[in-house]
Amino acid sequence: MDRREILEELKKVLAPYTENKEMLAGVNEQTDLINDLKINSANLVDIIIDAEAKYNIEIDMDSSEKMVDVKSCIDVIEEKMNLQK
Amino acid sequence: MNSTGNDIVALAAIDKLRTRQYRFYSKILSDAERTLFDGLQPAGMPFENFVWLLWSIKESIYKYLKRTQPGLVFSPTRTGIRTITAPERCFGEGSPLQWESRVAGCGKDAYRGIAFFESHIFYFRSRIHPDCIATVVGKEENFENTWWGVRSIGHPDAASQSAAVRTLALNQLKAVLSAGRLPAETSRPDMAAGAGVGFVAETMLHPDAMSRPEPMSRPDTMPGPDAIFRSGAMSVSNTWQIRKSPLGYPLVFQGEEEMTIPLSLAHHANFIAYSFHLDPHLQQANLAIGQTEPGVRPYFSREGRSVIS
Repeated sequence: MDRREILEELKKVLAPYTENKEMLAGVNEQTDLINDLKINSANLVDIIIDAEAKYNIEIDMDSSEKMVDVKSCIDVIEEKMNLQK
Repeated sequence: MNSTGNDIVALAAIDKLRTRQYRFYSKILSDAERTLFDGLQPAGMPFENFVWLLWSIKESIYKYLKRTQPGLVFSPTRTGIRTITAPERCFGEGSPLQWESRVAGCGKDAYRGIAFFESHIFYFRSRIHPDCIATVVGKEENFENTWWGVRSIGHPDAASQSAAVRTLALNQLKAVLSAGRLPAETSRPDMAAGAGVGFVAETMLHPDAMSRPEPMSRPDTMPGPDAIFRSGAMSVSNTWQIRKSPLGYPLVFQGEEEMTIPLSLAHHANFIAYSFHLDPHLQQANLAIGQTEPGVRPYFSREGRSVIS
């Protein structure tokens, strides 16, 4: 799965937690989860757990703390998926 | 400078079943913190409330520190809760869902304790209502100089939350400061009425206002801040605004001048909350000065005119 494919799946993970569907449709690697997508911080753990299930990976706390924007989310997911290979 | 941080969790918006799962709560709590839960059982706290209580404390600490540590990353498991003491009486069914007061006045029905992040020690107060968990943290154990407010709102969309929490915080801030002496508008030619009016400063705190966001500017017929202060003796600038810093924390402005008042805002679903900390020395100065001393303006960091040397 390349970064573009990861991004497309990531949109599905983020969708239940953002009311800003327009921004989600045009999301790019610079999009911030809280400031741009208006995701409440209380949902950040939900997103990590949903991403673990979606990509069949395990995200440790050190890695999850980096997941504040789309780019860092893709970086972490890509890294964890490579570890599975 | 002492600051403040707060958070609120709407219990209807959390997934209780998921919260009880190890894979979820282990991303928030340490093993040592899980043992604190046993000590709270006499209070009959559900485990999911315990998890979100600790989350709200940790998030509040992050907000406190973010103001002075720009590169800080929120790390729930690296933020520790050392002690939690249950309140003397439960803040439960029948308790008011909304409040605004000094934190110090919330003693007997609030959870309290000590938390830390790296070398920083914090005190916290939390109220657990059947519908929400609200927390405020600070570095003063008695919270004498911190104000705290919580309300429910009609519409949980981000725009309504943002407008309502700013209105609530600014109105209370003005009310608290007006008990002393606000910086005189007459000494501020740059603060002429109407200049840079911020919508958040214009909205009276009314239940309807909390459920419907106000327009970005108000008609002239809407009640202004004078109505809030109910005092003809003091002309209060109507240019108060809350702006976001580049790092995302709120800043209080009067006109184009930033005030030295740490403010924290929180919202989740149908709940909004704020806290602000007033420097006790500046509070005394605010009470002492009169309009005959137009150059003396507490709560402003610029011009070097602070009465505190």
